[in-house]
Amino acid sequence: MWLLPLLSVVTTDALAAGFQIKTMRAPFAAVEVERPLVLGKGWLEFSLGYDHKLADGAWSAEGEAVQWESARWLYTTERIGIRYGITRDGELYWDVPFHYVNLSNDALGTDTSAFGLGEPRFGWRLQLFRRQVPTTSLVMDLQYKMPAGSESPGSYVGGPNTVSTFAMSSGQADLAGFLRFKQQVGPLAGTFSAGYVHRFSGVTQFVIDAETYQFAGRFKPGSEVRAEGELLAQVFGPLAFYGDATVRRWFEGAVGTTSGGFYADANLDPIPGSDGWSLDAGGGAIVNVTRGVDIGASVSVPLRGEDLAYFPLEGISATRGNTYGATLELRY
Amino acid sequence: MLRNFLLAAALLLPAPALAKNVFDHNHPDLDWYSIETEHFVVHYPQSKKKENNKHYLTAKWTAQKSAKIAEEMYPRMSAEFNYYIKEKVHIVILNQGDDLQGFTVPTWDWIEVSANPGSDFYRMRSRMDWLYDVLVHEYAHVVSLKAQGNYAEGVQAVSIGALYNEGVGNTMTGGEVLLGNNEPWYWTEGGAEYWSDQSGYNWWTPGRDRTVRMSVLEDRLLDWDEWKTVAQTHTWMDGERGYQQGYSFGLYLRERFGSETYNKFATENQQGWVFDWNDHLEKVTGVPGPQLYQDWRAWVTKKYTEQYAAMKAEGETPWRELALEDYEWEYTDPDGRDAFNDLRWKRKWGVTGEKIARREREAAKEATGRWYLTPKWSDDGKWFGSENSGTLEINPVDESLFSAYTGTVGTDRGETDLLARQTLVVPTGAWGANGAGHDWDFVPGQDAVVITGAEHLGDDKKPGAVLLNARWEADGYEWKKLWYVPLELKEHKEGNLTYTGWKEVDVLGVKHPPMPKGAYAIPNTERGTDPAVSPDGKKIAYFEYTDATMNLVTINLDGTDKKYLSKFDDGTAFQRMDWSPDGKTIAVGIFRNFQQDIWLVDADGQNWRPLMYDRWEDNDPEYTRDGDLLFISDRTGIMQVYRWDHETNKIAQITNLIGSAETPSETPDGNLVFTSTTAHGQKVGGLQRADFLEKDVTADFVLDADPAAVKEAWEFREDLSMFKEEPYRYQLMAPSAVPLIRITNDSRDDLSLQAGAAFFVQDFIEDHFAYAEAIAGEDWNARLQYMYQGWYPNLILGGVYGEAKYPYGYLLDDDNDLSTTADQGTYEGKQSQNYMFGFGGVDYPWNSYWRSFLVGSYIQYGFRSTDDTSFAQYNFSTEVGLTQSFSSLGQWSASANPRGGRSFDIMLSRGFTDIVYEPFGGKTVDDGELLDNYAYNKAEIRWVEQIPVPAWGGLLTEANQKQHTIQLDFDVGMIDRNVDRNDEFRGGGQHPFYWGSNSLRPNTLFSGYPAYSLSGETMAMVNLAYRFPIRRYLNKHVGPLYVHTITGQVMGTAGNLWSFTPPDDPAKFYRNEYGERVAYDPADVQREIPFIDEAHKNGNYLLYDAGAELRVSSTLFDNYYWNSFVRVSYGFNEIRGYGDVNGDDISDSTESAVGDELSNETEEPGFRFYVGLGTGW
Repeated sequence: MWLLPLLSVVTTDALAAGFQIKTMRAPFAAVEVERPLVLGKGWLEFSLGYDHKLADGAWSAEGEAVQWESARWLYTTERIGIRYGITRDGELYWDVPFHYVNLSNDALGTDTSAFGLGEPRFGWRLQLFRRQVPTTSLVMDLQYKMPAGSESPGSYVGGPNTVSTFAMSSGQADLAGFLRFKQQVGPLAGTFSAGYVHRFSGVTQFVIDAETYQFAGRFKPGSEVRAEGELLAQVFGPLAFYGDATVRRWFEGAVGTTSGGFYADANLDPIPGSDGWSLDAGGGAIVNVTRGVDIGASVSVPLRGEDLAYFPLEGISATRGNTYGATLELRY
Repeated sequence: MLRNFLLAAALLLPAPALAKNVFDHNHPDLDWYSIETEHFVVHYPQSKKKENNKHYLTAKWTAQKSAKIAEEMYPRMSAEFNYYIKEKVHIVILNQGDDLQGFTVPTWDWIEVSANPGSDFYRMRSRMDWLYDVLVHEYAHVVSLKAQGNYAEGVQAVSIGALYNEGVGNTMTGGEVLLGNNEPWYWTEGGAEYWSDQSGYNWWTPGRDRTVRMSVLEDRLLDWDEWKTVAQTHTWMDGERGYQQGYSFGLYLRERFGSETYNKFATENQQGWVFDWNDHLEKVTGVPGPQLYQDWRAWVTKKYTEQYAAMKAEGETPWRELALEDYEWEYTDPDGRDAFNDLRWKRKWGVTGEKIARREREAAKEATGRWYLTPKWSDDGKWFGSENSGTLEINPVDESLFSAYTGTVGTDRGETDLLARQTLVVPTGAWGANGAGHDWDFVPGQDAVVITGAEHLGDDKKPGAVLLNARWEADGYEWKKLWYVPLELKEHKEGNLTYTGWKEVDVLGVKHPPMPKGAYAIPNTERGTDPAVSPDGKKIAYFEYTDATMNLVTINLDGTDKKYLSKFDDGTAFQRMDWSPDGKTIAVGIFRNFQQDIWLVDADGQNWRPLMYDRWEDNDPEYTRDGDLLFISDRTGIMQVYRWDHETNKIAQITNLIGSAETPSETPDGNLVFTSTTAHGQKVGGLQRADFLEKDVTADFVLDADPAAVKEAWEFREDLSMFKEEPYRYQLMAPSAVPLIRITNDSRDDLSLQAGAAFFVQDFIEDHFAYAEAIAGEDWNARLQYMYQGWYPNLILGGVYGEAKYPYGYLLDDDNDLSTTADQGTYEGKQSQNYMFGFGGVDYPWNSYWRSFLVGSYIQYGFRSTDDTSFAQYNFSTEVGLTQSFSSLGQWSASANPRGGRSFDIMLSRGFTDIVYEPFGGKTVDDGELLDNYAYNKAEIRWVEQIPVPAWGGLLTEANQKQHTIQLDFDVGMIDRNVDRNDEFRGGGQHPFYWGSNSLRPNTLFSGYPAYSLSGETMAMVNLAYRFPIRRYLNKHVGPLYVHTITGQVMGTAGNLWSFTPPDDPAKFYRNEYGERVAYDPADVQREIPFIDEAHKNGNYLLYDAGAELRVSSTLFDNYYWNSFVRVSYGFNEIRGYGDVNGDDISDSTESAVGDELSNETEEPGFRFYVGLGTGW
C-alpha cells in the first residue's frame, strides 16, 4: 500500500526495474466476461472506489418504505482495494473504506458531518475449480471484517438527533464464508454466490450503559445469510454491462453486558424484532480499457428492507436510498 | 488508563535496523557502474580514489566477464526447466572486502558475488575456477526456485501469529508460523550444483568427490533427516557435504531415471503447496523419498568401497595424523577403532542414544583440527607450524616426537602437555574476514615468519582491547596484508612446572597471546597473500589479488622494491608457490584459460614456462632441499603428492591415500608432511620416506607441451570490450511483501484478528532501503521506515501512526468495603487511543562488534472516549539519545545456548515532555508531583555475559564438555528527575512475540512479575541463569518439524525499580479530584534510594524471582527456524501498582487499605507461565 504512492513519483525509467513483469505471472483475460473469480498468480490490483448514497428515508419494522420529512443522510464511501494473486488459485485481498457522512435536518436545524476510517476487510479466495474457454470458476471466499473505525458517537446519550459525530464502525468483527460460481457462455457470464456472515459480539463505545452513562455495553448484531446473482454481457468489445441482485436475511441481534469466562455472550439479551430481510437490485458497466486498467460505474437500488435499529451503521442497518458508484482498477 | 500507556509502548518499538547483506560498512568512496545485456544487468564498484591509493579497487573485468558468462548460461539453464526468465536478473559484483560471497534472492532477481573467492574455496573444490562456478550455481538457483515456486514472487511467505495473555492464570501463550515455499536443502543446493553440471559448466571435481567419498567411508554422510533441512547439523564440512550429497543424488537419479528427474520436482511443486515437499520424489520416480535415499546411499557406498579396495590392492601409503596426542582408540588397540565405531564411546561418556554418541565420536575426531593446511618445518628444523582455521600454530618441535615418523605410538603425556603450552597461536585475521587456507613461510636465518594477515591485525590483541575487540576499521576496509612476526619464547611458571612458551597476557583470568613484540605489517602489501620467503631471507614472493585476478609479486621484507612478475588482468588465479633452493626460480600453481598447472618463472619475472601442461588439476608446488619439486595432482581422480626430479625430468607418485594428500612439504629428515581430508577435518599427516609409493608416472604428464601452443595460450586475452558500462542508476528490486495475520487479546474474552502486510524494497546496491507495514483489525497501525546506506553512517528515518481500542472492566464499590457486595457493580467500558511516533538518526558500525546510534524521536499519545468527537492529545515528547553497543555474540546471540561472549549497551539520552491532556487541565500527577512540562536526562547500561562453565575438575569439567553456560545479565538505569510514568523505566515478564526473538532481556529479568508492572526512575537488577543442553544432537523429524536441540535453563533475578515518594505529612500535600496526593512543594517529593528505600509503587525494597525454562530449537517445513520455549517463573514478592494490578481485567475502585492513590489490588506471589511456539525465546 505504501509502495504504490511511491511509484507515482517515479520519473526515471531506471527505477522501474523492480516492477518489470515476471515470468511466473499467470495469464489474465483482457475482458471481464472471460475472467475467473480470482486474480491470477502474481497479479497485483490496486483499486479506488467511490460510492454515493443519499437517503431520505428508511424501512419500517414491517419492511415498508418510510419517507423522512426533513432529514437527509449522505453516506459516501471512499475505498482503497488491494488484491494479490498469491498462488495459482489463491488470492489475498484487503478492502479499506473511508466514509464521509452528513446528516442534516432542516426542521431541527442540525447539520452534522464526519469523516474517518470505516471497517477494513481482509479475505482469501481459493479457486476450487476452473476451466478456460469458456470460463468456469468456482471459488471459496473467506472474509474478515475489522472494526477499526471510530465508535465514538461523541455523546453519552445516543440517538440520531443528539450525536455530535458518527460512529464509523459497529465495534465488532464479522467472519464470512461464501461460495461463488461463474459460468461464461459466449459474451455472457452468470455469477451466483451464497454465504454466511457470522457476527461476533464486541464491547462497543456507542452502546451506553443506561444507568450511569459512563460505561459501555456488549453488542452483537444478527448474523446473516446472503445470496447474490449477476448477469454480465460483454457486448461491445471492452465494454460490459451487468445487472445484479442481492438478498439478505439476518437474524436477531443481542445486547447486554459481558459475562465472565471465555464465552462473553452468555449475558446478552436478544433485541426483539431486529431480524429481517432485504433485497437490492442494480447494475452497471465496466470498461476494460487495457488488461491493466478497468473503469466501472454502478447503481444499486434498495427494493426491500427492514428496520433502522442501528443507524448510522449502514453495514448492518441500511437506510433507504440509491447508491451510485464508480471504480478505477489498476492492475500489474 | 494504565493499560493504554502500556499498549502504546509495546507498539512503538522501531523495527530493527537493517544494514547491508554483506558489509557492516558503507562505501561512499565508490562509484558504481552497470553493464546491461539482453537478460542481465551487471553492477560493479570502482573507487573514486586514484589508482595509486592503497584501497583503490575496481571490478570492471569481473563485471564484463560475468556479463559474458551470464548470457552464455541463460539459454542452457533456461532449457533445463523450459523456464525462460523474462525479467532481467541483476548481478552485483563486490570487491570492497575479501569475503567469499555468492548468494541470490531469486524473487528479487538479485545475485551478489564477490570478485574474489578467497583460498579455501579453491581448496574445497580442487580447482581455481570461481566465476563460472559461482555464477552458474547462483543462476541455477534463480531459475530452479522461480520455476518451482508456488507462491507468487511478490510474497515471500505468509506470517500467522497469535498471542493470548491471561491475567488471572498468569499465562502468556504465543505462536508464529511462516507459510512459504518449503523446498529441501539437498535439492536447492545440490540441485544448483547438478544443473551447473547438466548445463555443461560444472563437473564432479576431485574436491567434490573427496567430500562424499570420505563421508561414505567414515560413516559421516548426512542422513535422510539431516540433508532435507537447511539448518541441520553444524559440524565440519556439513555445508559442503550437503551440497555435494545433493549433487551426487542428482547424478544418481540421472543414471537411474533420466537426466530430467531432478528438474521434474520443480514442475511438480509448481502445481500447489504440499505439506512435505519430498512427496514429489515418489510422484516423479514412483519410489518413496526415504527409500530413494537408501538406494542412493547403497550406490555411493558400492562405488567408494570398490575404489578403496582397488587402492589398497595397489598399495595404500600408511600415514598418520600429526597430533600432539595419539588417541589410544585410534592406534594402540586394534579393536579400539571398531569399538569406537560401535558406539561404545557413549558408555565412556555416560550418554545414551545413538545420535549423540555418534556426534561425540565425531567431535572427538574433529578436536584434533578441522582446517589444517600448509604444514611445514623451518629449514633449520627448529620450528614446526601449520595454518589452522585462520590462525598459525607454531611449535618448537622436532619431527621425531611424532609417531607418524617414529612408528612408536603413545607420546608421553607430559610432553604433549608441554607442547600444548608451547604452541604459539598467531591470529592471522584471515578467517572470518578473509577465509582461511592461505600460505605462510618461515624466514630463513631468523626466528620469524611471514604470514597472510589483515590490515588491522593485532589491534584487538593489545592488553585492554582483547576483550572488547577494539579494532579501528572506520574506513570499512580490512583487506589482507602480509605481516612479519618474530617467534619469541618466554619462561613460564605454572605451579611446580617451569617451561619455555609464548608470551601471554592475562585479561580477567583469560590468557591471550598478544602479537609478538617486533611484529609489523609489511608496507605496500595490501591484498597480498600466500607469502614465500627467498632462501636468503631477504625477499618475499606473494600473490596480489583484485578484480578476480591474481599476480605474482616480489618485495623486500621492509616493503621496498616491489616488483610485479606477472601482469594479468583476466581472471588468472594462483595457489601456493615456493622458491627453488638456489633462489633463482619460483614455482607456482596457476589456473588460466581452464588450465591448472605448475609453472616456473625466473626470480626476476622472466622466462615463464610450464612444468607440465595437461588435463590434470596440478597444484601446490613445494621444493625439496635438493631442488626437486613436490606438487599435487588429480591424475588418479584423487589428489596425491608427486615429485618431479629436476635432474631426470621424471615424475614419481609419492602418496596413495584415499582421503587425498595436499599442501606437501619435505621435513628436515626427508619425510613428508602434508594435509589429508578425512570426514572429520583437514588433518596434518606424516608419511615416512621409506613408505613413499615411488611410482614412476612420468608418462601420464605432458612435460613437453608444444611451445607455440603454450605461448599462444599464455598471451591470449579475451576481448570483452563489447560489454560497455554506464554509470549506475538507482534501480529498485522487485518489492516483497509478507502478509501478516495476527490474533491477540486485549482482555481475557476479547480475542481479535488483525491482518495486513509488511513491505520491503531496496535498490540493487542497497543504498536505499524502505520498509513499510500496515496492519488492521480492531486496532490498526502503519509504519514507514527508510534507511540510506550510501554514506559512512546509515541514516534512518521512520514513523508510526496507529489507533487502538481496548475494553476494560471497572468495579464500583460505594462503601469502599469489599466484604459488602450489595453495593458493588461491575461495569465495562471501552477506550480508544492513538499514537504517533517519529524517529530519525544515524547508525555507525565501527567494526563487527561495535555500533553507535544517535537517534532523535518524537512520541505523542491521545485518547478518544465515548463522548469525544476526536482524539484528545495526552503528551508531546521528544528524546535525543546516544547508544553505544557492543556484542561479541554474533550469530549465536539467538541460539538456544549462546556461550562465550558478551554484549553491552550504554544509552544516554535527553528528553522533553509536555503534558497537554485537556481533561487533566494540561497537567498530570506522578508520584505526588504536578507535572506540566519538563526536561530530563536518562542513562541506562545493560550488560549480558555468557560464560562457559569453567573446566575446573570433576563435575565442572563434565559440565563444560556438555556445554553448560552461565549467563549474567545486569541492567541499571537512572533518570535525573521525577517524570511521568510513561517516561519511566519498565520491568516485568514479557513474551518474545512482537518483541523479536533475539532479545534475552525479556527472557530472564523479572519474568516472575506481570509485564510492565514495575516502573520507576531508578533501576538496578541482576539476573543469573544457568543453561544446560538436554539433547544437543537430537536432529529428528517430527512431522514438519526438525528438532535440533533441547536446552534447559534455570534463572533468578534480584533488584527493583525505584521511583519518587509523595510526602506522607498531610500538611505537605493536598488531594486532587482523583484522590491523588499532590505536594505543595515539589521538593517534598523524595527520590527513593536504591536498596535502602522501599519502592512505594510496588511496595518492596527488593524483588526476587526464579524460574525454569525449556528451549526447543527446530526448523519448520525444512526451511524456517522455528524455536519454541516453555517457561515458568515464580515472583516471590507481593506487588502493588496502579489500576488492574491482579490482571483480572477489572479495575477495582475500592480505596486502598493504606489510604494512598495506588490500587486496592495486589498481585500475590506466584507462578507465571509462558509458552512460545516458533516465537524464539
